Amino acid sequence: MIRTRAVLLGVPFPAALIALWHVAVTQGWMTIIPLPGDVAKESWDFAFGGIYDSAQSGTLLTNLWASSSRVLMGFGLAAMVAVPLGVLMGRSQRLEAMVGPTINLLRPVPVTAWVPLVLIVFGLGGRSTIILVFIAALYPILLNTIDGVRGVPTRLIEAGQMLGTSSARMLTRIVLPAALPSILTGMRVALGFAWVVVVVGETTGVPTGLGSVITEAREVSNTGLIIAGMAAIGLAGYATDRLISQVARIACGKRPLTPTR
Amino acid sequence: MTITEQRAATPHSAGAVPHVELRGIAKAYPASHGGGTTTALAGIDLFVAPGEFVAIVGASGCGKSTLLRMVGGFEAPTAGTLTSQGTAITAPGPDRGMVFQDYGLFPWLTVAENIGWGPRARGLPKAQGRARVQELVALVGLTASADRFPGQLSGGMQQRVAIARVLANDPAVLLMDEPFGALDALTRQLMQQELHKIWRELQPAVLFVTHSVEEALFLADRVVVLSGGPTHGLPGYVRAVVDVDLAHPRDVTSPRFNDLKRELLAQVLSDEHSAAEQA
Repeated sequence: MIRTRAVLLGVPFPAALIALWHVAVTQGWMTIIPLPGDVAKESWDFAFGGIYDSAQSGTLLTNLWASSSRVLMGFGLAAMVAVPLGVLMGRSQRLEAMVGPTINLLRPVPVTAWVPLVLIVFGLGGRSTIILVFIAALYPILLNTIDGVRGVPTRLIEAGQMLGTSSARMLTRIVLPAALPSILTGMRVALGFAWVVVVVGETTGVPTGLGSVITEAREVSNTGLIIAGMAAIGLAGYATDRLISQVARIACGKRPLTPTR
Repeated sequence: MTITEQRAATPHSAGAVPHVELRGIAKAYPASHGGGTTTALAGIDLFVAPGEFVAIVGASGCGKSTLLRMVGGFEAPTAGTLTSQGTAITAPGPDRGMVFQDYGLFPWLTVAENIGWGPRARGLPKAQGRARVQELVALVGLTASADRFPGQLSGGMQQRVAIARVLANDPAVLLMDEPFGALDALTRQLMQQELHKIWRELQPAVLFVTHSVEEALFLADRVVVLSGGPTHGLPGYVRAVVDVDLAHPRDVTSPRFNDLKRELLAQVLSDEHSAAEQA
């Protein structure tokens, strides 16, 4: 029932957009853009091959995997650093005073401005892209974790204290779960940035990945493949966002995460 | 029934080592504007003997919650000595279980897990902890709700969980900060009876803060009236200590109960009256 309703409401708008696109091209309003049907054909070839026999035919999975693994590695690295650091910074004013200013100074530097330095240090290739993803994903997770930890109700901390909870247990069993909704928000934002940055990173001469596919497609003026690559990036980003929500959902089971007050 | 002005609250049974002992306790805060300090409490002496139920009553702002939080170890006194079983109180600890007005339950844990928190935190063997939890869940009448989450329970049920959670640590004293203040009148009465039953059964020492004179008289062996407070321009002090020698279960409609209630109420409200006269 709900599914049908979602499809009925959700499909017409993009269908109309594609129809408009088709009309715009056939009427000659847009001349450089291929027809939706041609893009679909190009996408099919990119995914499964057998139509054009170009260098990119049937390479979707390889490139998708290359990009996804960079996203997940950079993101995972960022989460591994940002969550513990954020929990500690949110709990310790001293650590916050020591590390906070540096982070606030580094944060406004756009990831694109990091590209040349990262390339010099880590060289051309996928490794640099992972580092760039790491930098981009770090801040949203860190800031949301600190925020979430600061927002843990004092009462829960006091309850833990008077029940004889050790300080290590306090962090892992009270502060962390209480801050989890905020941490998850940070992770979702970070994952969005990660996909932006992986494409930026892959335009810097990395041989594989969806970013390199659309860069190379531009060099040979294959507009259809550019659009097919964009669609793949969009879908992949959507899929990983759903993935992280599902993982959190499964990990928490039916446990309510938001404090009752 | 005895009312003594500013008498030190001596241990109930002579010779018993008090579980909690406060001597000359004072608490001062930095003043909200200008330099200097505001003294919230001064010269507080108080003893709670093992198994004794002591209630602290007083008007808003007399410092009764601050006093309880100091015993809890959440705040430090600016003067005086504070001990629990002979050891100085410097931090919160499982020997002084606190029941908050807003429960303070862990919302992501079930009733049973909340109650089992203390035993687990102290590293008790799992089987032993589970048995204790089952006992306490039954004691507070929540066996059917053991696997529910606090957000699915009524306020009264949540407060039962909070009480059981603290009892799981076998505290030397139960500190209760207006525990039934957020409940409706009927639930409040039921919870008072429930608490009395639990106290009878387990005999924990209790230090119970309330602004309800009736609640204090219904439950306590001894009622300490706290007066003053910064809003009255003087530090909070112990105005009276009343030994309640009425037999349990206490009938709140009996003449003796009401005589006592009137007298206590007069003590509690005396500051408000004198403030009104001055105005």
